[in-house]
Amino acid sequence: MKKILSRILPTCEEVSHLTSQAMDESLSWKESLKLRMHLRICIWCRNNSKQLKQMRNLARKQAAAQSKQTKLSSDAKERIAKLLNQNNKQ
Amino acid sequence: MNDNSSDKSLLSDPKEWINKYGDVLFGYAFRYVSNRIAAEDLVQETFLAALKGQTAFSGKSSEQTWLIGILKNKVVDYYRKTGREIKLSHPEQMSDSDRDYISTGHDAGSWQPNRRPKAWSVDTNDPVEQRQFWTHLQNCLDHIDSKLAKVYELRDIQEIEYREVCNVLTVTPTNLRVMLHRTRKLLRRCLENNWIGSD
Repeated sequence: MKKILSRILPTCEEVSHLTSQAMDESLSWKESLKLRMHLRICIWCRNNSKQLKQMRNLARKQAAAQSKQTKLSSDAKERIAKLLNQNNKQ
Repeated sequence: MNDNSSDKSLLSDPKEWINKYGDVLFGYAFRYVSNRIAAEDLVQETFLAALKGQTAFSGKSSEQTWLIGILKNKVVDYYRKTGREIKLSHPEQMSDSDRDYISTGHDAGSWQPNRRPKAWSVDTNDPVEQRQFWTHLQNCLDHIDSKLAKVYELRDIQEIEYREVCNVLTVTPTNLRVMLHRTRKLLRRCLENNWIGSD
């Protein structure tokens, strides 16, 4: 019985790959079914999946907060404007 | 030459570019290179290329979209020049050589008992924890392979599209998938040991 089950059910290792893959692209229905079936019965893989997503959410939140402050410095603006002006005349 | 001058007539006055598009382009470049000086250089190169009409402006897209298109190519050049090490030459080195999983017997492929991901005991809604997380994440990124850190930075931190990451780092989608899985795993482990473990 265990042998048959293991043929249908993916291992934790496979599920780890699928979990990561699903964060970037949509899985085939077969892959997605495998993933969901395994997650239902495996607490460790559920933790893994939840934590990978949490990490990404937190990181993106921090990055978004920081990117609001990224502006071109006035020095750089001046320098580039000057250069553009010179090149425009040529 | 005729084509060139008619392209230019569609454009706004280059004197206004820096104020109109400077910050947008800079923000865009910064997401890709995470370095102020490099990002400034990219903005400058983009404007100069636009001025020379190296890439013709057809007027079909907005001026800003056109400039961003030029900038994207500059980012690809940037990584070609500075980041040859970004390329993943041996995908087989990326396979799971670590011992997260049981390797033989009928439990093969299951988590090793001491490597099983346990529930995290932190409240991720707490701003203090969020800052802690960020500090530890930066630290962990400093300690892993720089190619892997770059991949994580672009995809999971800067939210750049999967295909776009493949494009700028010139890696195949399959290699990127392997790299991302490996990196996320390493970082999760690192955070578990340092951030979660420190409480």
